[in-house]
Amino acid sequence: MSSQDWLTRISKLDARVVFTLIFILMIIPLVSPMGLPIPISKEVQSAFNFVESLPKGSIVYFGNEYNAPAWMELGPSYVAVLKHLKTRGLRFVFLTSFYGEALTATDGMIKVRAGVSTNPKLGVEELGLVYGKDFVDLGYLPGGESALAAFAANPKVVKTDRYGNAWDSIPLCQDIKTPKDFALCVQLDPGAHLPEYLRQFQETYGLPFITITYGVTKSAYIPYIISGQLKGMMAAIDSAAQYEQLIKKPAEASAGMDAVSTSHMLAAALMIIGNVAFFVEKQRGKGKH
Amino acid sequence: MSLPDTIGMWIAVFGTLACWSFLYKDNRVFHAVESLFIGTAAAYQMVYALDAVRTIAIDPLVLKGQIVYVIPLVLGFLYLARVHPKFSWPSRYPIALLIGVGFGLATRTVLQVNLLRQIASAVTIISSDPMGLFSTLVTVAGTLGGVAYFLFTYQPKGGQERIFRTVTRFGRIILMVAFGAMYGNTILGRASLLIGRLQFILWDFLHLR
Amino acid sequence: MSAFMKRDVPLLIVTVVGVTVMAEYFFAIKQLADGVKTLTEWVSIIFGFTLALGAINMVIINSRYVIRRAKERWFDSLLIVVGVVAVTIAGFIPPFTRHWTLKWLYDYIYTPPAGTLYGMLTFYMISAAYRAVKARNLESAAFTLSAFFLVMKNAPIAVSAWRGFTDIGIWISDVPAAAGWRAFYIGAAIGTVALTMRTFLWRERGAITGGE
Repeated sequence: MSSQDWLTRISKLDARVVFTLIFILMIIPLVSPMGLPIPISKEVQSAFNFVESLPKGSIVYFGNEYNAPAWMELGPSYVAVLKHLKTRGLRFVFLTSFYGEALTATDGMIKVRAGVSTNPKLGVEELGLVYGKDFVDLGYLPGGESALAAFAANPKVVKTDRYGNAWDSIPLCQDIKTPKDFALCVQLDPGAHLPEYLRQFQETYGLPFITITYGVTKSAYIPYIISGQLKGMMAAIDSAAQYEQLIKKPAEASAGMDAVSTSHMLAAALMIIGNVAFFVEKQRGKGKH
Repeated sequence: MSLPDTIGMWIAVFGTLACWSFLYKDNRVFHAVESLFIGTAAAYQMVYALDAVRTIAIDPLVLKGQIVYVIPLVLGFLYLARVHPKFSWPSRYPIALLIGVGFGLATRTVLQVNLLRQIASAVTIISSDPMGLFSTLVTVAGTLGGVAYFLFTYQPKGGQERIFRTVTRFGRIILMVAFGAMYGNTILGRASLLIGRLQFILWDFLHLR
Repeated sequence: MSAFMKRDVPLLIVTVVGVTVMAEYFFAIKQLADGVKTLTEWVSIIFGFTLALGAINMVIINSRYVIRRAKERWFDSLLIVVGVVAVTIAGFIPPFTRHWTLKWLYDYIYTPPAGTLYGMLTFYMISAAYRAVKARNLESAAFTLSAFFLVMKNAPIAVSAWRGFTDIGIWISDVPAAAGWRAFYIGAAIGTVALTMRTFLWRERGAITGGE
């Protein structure tokens, strides 16, 4: 069979053969890692640098938007940033405005992995953080952009934290009067809600932003990095792996990067094969006429 | 691991494999798991939202006598009138409030966030070396071309038509470059999710690491 | 009920409320600020009901299919109803939304299919690489080249082999792709203002009046 026929056959390959190849090429490095180096991108480096520059005791606002499919796109970055905040002695506040399920979703996956207790009573000696003093979970305020505006205008609109403790009884909440009291907003972004956050928190109150977002929106948010509206960005597993390297605590993301390499090389190879076959077919069609 | 967690792990593995079975062929098991997922997804949204309504409005009304919260609660119940098409018109009042507030909040700062700042960064010279100047030129021309592409109501005639077509074609090419970048990053993103599921099956369930 | 109550009053509410919220940003008037504070809080409360309506509607529609034993879909509809009911019960056991059953359902019933279904797009996108991503003309060539270099930039093994993939990928992201996205944002910003004006002037009524 000629090479042209082979190219044509490959370009018309059953999709299920490709699916099987994807499975094999991703399973092998997960079982037997290669340990390739992970280059650090400038967006992740600048996010890390900004967190490093914050004075001890600064309050960080977490836009705790997270949903079930978001693990591995947002989760490992979220865990890494939380670990970093802990080591820097920063305080943090969680509030959800778009995805109520984030309250349950982040309990085990994120908070426990980061060593941030989900039980207010547990935080004291075991994890080195005191709930209510070092961090607080304000729960869910529905309404999306309206909720952000409501919180920005009057943080007490939340009334209680997630566990029913009144706002006035929480020590950390007494230091929050306006969004200007936050040194940074780390916004999780499973649904392209960054513009809403920027409109309500940054334009009026000048709050610096770091976003943790999906791979889909990574290139879409580059203009916000260039314009200075974002201090840094993490998107998908590679950013998480880079941040894990920067805080010197490699975890799931770093371990999964070899599978990223193999799957991407397959995608690139298929692109090349598909295009070469296309041009060969085109030349063949021209030759017949 | 506790018994509920062990049972849950097996159910989770079954659900994952059932979804992957669709890659081979459409089948009933996939649709069953998908239906269960759809039902639970809708309910999760509702449960957290109603609990938030309880803490923000119902508890202050009932426990502290703050009568003012009757108004948004009544409006919220009016919204539920949408269930029956014949009697759905009262839902227009809360919808009107949602739309008015939503548009007002979005519009008052959208020009600063998405227009002025983006224009300012588009015309900023990246650096004075040849590559920086070339990049600045591409940025300015690409932004202008992309915006021109979306001018569907402007149809010049004569000599201007050819110039406009060239500009919009350049804009379309720039937009395709943006979509190509999005495609490349989407593969990374979705591969991340797949890696997460594979890690769950291989590491957490099969203990292959 | 008259057209005034059904159509004109809601449209008036949109305009008055919208203009009030916009004005509050530009004028430092305490009464205006307090009013908008109240309005945004009320929206949060009403929003909770909008999310409840989705689940309620889903139960009503799918219950009809189950009762009628609709061919080929009654079992799927039954599972949808079972899912809604199970999560609702788990969510309202005290302490509300913090009972272990809700977390169990989330971790083992909801998350696995959610993550898997989204992750399955990997397969379709990679198979699209040889089926659809072809340089047929100038535009698709731009798409193909951009996609190729971004894919290579995101793969550590490729970047280890040749540093140029990183440099080219970053240039594509930061210059032409960013220019394209900037054009989207500028267009979207102008479109948002235009749609808002049309809505406040009652020229765009579909969301309120349903086409009346």
